Amino acid sequence: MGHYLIKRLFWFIPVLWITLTLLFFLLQIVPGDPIRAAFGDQKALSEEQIQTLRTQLGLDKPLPVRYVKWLWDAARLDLGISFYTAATVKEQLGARIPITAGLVILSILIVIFLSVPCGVVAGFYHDKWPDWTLRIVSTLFISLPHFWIAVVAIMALLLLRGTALSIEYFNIFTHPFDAAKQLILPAFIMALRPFGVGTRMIRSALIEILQEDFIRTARAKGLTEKLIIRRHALPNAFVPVITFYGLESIVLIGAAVVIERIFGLPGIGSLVVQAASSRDLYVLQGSILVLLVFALFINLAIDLLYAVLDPRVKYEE
Amino acid sequence: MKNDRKQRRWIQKFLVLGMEEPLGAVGILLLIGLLTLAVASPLLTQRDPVTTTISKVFRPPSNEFWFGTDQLGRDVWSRFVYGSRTSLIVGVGSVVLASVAGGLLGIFSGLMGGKVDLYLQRFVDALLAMPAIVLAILIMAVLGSSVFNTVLAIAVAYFPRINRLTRSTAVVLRESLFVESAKVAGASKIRISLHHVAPNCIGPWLVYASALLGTAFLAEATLSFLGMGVPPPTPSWGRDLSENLTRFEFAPWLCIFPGIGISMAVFAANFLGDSLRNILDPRLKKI
Repeated sequence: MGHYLIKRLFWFIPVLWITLTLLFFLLQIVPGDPIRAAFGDQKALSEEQIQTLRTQLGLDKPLPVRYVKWLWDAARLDLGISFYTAATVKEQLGARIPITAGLVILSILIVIFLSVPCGVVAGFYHDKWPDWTLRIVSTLFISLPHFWIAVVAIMALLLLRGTALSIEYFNIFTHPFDAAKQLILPAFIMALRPFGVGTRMIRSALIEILQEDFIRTARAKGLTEKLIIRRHALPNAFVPVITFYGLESIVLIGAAVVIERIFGLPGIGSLVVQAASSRDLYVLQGSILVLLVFALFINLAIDLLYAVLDPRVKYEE
Repeated sequence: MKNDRKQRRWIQKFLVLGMEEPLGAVGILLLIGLLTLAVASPLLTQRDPVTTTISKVFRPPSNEFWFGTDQLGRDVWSRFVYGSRTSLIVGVGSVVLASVAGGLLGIFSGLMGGKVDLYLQRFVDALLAMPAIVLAILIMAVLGSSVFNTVLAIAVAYFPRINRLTRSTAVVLRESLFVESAKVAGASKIRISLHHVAPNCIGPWLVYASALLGTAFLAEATLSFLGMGVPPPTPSWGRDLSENLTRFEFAPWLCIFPGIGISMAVFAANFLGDSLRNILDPRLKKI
């Protein structure tokens, strides 16, 4: 277990490096350079001003130098400045991280705590009414675009209560309950699709496992159905599903970008959208980097969970 | 007469499909509807979707304007009809690009094996670690918004998944007996990959591509919704929806119809993808 943990933590570094490299080179394909992309068409800056900015930001240096500088700056968490407000990217990100982190983590928790019991119920009552209901519901949730559900939810709130969106947001780390109350609706809407897929997966994994020989043995021993599900079937059904939760949490980070924009949540996602539409490329680069690191951390956590739940991983060298 | 019988057989086949996979049949019908909207747009509406009429703004749905008009007096029905074109062109275009590029690269990587495979797949790993929609947003910001760039961005964001899938199929096929015998017979690498490996990858590849169609429709709507994607004034359901969110209270029709359009397209593609998977992957059907 300890061995696996250390190995997994070391693996984090090369993945982070590849991600940083990829992010750097993606921004290199901007036609012209970032300054021209942001201001070029508007003729807001004179040619001299552009040149001065280029020198200031080090854009006149050759590619390898800029690449090393980017890695070094990223290691020191210096992510550059915004073209428009001149605030450092780090400053802008600070207050936004808790909102996005809270939203995504809350959403993952909702997915896990809803899809596991629902999947078990559907699998256990295979082809009976609870199964059919859950299958229809999950198909619906998988197919409905989440931003359309969000729009409809906001409209409904507007019509019912007259207000839908908060002005001030609480920090999830200092005021967990107040923040969770504000984030619960968007987190729930984000959770619908992965809930649908997760329920389906647990259901079919459980159905398959309940036909295995060792379950028959357990029944023959006279164990109760409850115990069979909890002790024998579920741990086995979980293993493929955990991988799915890991992949799905990456998708949830993507969904957060859209949902934050709709609900007006001042998280990293809305910063990504704002920076992308104004082509404020350093802010975009920095905020996407934070999202990616967040995705890597979630995957790390899921992998460690995997090790806890799957006995085979523990003994692996 | 013969033609008539042929036609009836078609209908029969469709009815059988409808019995076994009712949602898939609904998906096909909806997609045919979408295709009709896109192909026959000039027949379905006489009004131009981008012409503004300042004297006729915010008209609710009526006999004259079926879906009402927007803040610039543009006919919402026309924008709905022409919006299907954008959705279909970008959706199908990006799926074709992603699945052809991802498929070929996957077969290449799987057949080459060794170092090429290793490094190529680590690169794909890094792409897979990113949320696809964020990657698409990044590419749109870098390239600027246009129809072609939207197709490109969605394709780049989703090709790693197809790549992984065809690669794993190709790796299995590489070790199979018939590839071995083709090698012994002296077939070239290109011949082996195109004549022997590629045809056997088509099943899973097709299933994944069809599942991707719904995602691509949604991605286009999302990008346009966020203000990237297809540039105005080109009609796009996603953009029309986001532009009119603030007007929902007094002009709900401006949000409802584009929303229905997006939902129907995504629904149709997902239903079809699900049914195709059930039909082509018998292992799943059993459970």
